[in-house]
Amino acid sequence: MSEREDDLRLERELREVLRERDPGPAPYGLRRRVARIPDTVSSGGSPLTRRLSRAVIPVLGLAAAITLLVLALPLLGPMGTGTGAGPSAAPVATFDPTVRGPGLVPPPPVEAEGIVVAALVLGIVLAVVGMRRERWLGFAALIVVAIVGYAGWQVLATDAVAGPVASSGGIGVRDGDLAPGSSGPYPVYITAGPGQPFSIGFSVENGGPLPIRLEGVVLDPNLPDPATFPTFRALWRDDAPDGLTGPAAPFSSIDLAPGHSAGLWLVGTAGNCAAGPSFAIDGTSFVGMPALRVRYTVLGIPRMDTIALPFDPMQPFPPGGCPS
Amino acid sequence: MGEPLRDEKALALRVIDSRPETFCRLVDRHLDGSYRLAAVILGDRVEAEDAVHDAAVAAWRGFGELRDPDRFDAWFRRILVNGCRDRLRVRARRRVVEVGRELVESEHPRVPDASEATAVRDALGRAIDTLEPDERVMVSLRFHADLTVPAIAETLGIPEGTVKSRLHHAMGRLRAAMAEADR
Repeated sequence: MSEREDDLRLERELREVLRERDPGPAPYGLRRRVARIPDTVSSGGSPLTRRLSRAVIPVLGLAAAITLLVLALPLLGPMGTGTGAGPSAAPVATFDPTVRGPGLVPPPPVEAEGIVVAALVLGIVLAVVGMRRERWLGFAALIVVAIVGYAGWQVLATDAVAGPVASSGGIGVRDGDLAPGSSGPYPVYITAGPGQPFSIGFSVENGGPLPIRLEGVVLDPNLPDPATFPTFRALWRDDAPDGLTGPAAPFSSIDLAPGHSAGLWLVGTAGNCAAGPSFAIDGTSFVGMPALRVRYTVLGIPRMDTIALPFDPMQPFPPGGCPS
Repeated sequence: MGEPLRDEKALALRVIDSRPETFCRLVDRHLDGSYRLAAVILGDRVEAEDAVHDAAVAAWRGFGELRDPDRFDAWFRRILVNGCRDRLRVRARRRVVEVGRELVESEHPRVPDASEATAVRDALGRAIDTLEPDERVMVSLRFHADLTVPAIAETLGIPEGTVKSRLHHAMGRLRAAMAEADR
C-alpha cells in the first residue's frame, strides 16, 4: 500500500473513530441548564469594565517593572565608562581621632541578591500572567523585566574591594614584621593605651561596572566586650590624594565611579586591657579585630562586602593577660 | 454549529432590547454542534456537558463584548475549545489512574475483535487518548468539525504554521498506532 493510500486510510479511520465518539444532539438537561444561565449568572458588566479588570494584573506588572527601571536609569548613565566623579566633596576639618562620628552603620536588612531575585521573579510571573490576558502588555512587561534583569546582573557583578592605597599608618598603631616565609597580611599592633584612640588607614575601591555610593563601615552588632577589645568609634575620610595623612573630614557618603577609590580612617579606642606602647612581642597575647565590612548601594540597592586589608590590626595584652 | 445562519446578524442586533432571549437563541442554535465537538474532544459525555455549560456561562458574561454578530459561531467555539483544552490539561496533570478499569481489565482481559477494522479503530482511539491536549483538540477540529488549518489557527489563537506542525506530529503518532495494529 502506497503512502498516499495509507494517509487516506488513516484519515478515513480517524473520521470513523471520531464519529463513533459523537454522542449526537445535546441532551435536554444541558439545554435547560444553558437556558437558565441569563437568570442565574450576572452578565459581567460593561465591556469597558471587563477589559479594565482583565488588564489589571499586566498593568501592575508593567508598572512594577517600569518603576524599577526608572529607579535604575539615572545611575545607568556612567555604567562602564569609568568616568564617574570619584569621591564627592566634603568639608575639610582637622583630623581628630577622639571625635566620635558618623560612618559606622548597621548591616543592611536585605541585600541586593534577595531584592534582585524577588523583583525578577515577581516581574516574570506578572508578565507571564499578563501575557495570557493582554498579550501586548505582557510582552512590554517582559521586555522591561529583561532590562531590569540586566541591570540586576550588573548590580550583582559590582563589589567593593580594598583600594590601591591601603596602609595602617595612623596614630596609636605600629607596623609589625611579617613572619619569614609568610605572604599573609602583616601585623599592625595597636599601641594606644587603655581607652585611648587609635586610627588605621585604608582605601576602598569600586571594583565593579556600576557606580556605588559608599555608606560606611558596618558595625558588627555582636561585637565582643568593649572593655577588653578595641572598639570602632568613627569613620573619617581623607580627601588628600596619595594621603592617609590628613587633613580629613568626618565621614559622609561617597559616590565612587567604577575603578575609583576613596581613602578612609577608621578610628577606635583601645580596650581597657590594652598593653599600651611598650610591650614585648614574645610571650604577649593579642586580640584581633573583626573583619572589615563596608556597606554601599548600587542603583539604590543595598550591598555589603568584606574588605580584605593587607594588614591585620592586633591589640596586645599586658603580661599575665587581662585581669577579669 | 457550522451551518450558516442568515438571520444571525439581525438576531444579534436586537441584543440591546432583549439580551437574555437573544443570547439563549444564539447559543441554542449552536448547542448540538458544541456538545458533539466537546464530547469528541474530551471523550466523555458528562464532562462535555459541563464544558458546554461553562462555555455558555463565559459567553454570557462576555456577551456585551461581541461586536460583530456574525462572529458568534467562531467566538463561542473558541471559548468552548479553550475550555476543553484546559480540562484536558488538568486531566493530564492529575494523571488519573482508573484503578477500577485496570482491575476489571486484568481479571477479564479484553479479547481483540476479529475484525481488522475494529482493531485499528481501537488502536486509533487509544492513540487519540494519549495525544497532547493541543494535538487532540486539533485532530478533533480537523477531522470531526472539518475546519481548515486557518480556521483552526483562528480558533486556537495560534499561527497556522504551529497548527500544521502539531497536526503533522499528531498524525505521525496516529499513523504509527495504525501500523502497529495492522501487524
